[in-house]
Amino acid sequence: MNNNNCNAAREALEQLMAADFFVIDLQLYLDTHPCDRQALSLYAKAVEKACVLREEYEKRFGPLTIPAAACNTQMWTWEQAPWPWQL
Amino acid sequence: MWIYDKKSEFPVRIRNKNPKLAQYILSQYGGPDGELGASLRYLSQRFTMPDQFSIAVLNDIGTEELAHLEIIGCIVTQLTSGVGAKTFDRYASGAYYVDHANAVYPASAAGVPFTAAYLQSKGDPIADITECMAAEQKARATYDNILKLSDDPDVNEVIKFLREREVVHFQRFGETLNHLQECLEKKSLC
Repeated sequence: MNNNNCNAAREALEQLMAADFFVIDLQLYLDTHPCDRQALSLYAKAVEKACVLREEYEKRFGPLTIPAAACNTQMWTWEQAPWPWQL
Repeated sequence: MWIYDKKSEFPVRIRNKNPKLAQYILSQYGGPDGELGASLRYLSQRFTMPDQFSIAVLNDIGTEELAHLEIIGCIVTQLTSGVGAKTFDRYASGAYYVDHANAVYPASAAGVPFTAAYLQSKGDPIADITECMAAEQKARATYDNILKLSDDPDVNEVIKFLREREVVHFQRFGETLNHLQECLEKKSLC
């Protein structure tokens, strides 16, 4: 990846990380507040946003999970995206 | 069952090398109040929790601790990658270098290898959740100590995130303890 592409990948990944973190935090909250309707609706929206960002990232920079890697039947792309300590 | 997600929970980008600081932070990888002990404790204790509520909390926090273990590994490796033996020694980390070179090994800051003796799995929900709450506070205190020793802003940003998570987990375990005590009073647990 060249520098510009690298920066774009990092930026897109950090947006996804923030969205996924919101999902994780809400999930823990819902574990102990299962009847909080406001949190449930926030959770649904947060999951949807994270899904969209994940799809966009994976399309441009490579798969983040093995199931996503399986979508490409032309070549094995699991190695494409950097590992978390390589950013 | 877990599916690996190829990203950390919080971004780690450390620009400066510092083997001494790496050795301190390694304690949260394999030390007495570290993330490995936390994840093993919660993921082991969940098997004997008495209801779906408490199992879910331990399962989900235990899973997040695995992500924290990875974050600590990322910090340690970025602080030491490419650093040579003499530099390790100059920063008082020569003893670590002798046994592990630039590798990430689960040990405490003082070099004691990880042991399951750091944790309990008691089969008693009140005892177990109370231990979880203490574990979160001990980890929070360790992060406080790291913040007092570190003046690297790249490192501190990540450590502050991890410290905050300890506070949130403590809160969730507290809610779980209240829930279990209410259930015990109502005798609604099996």
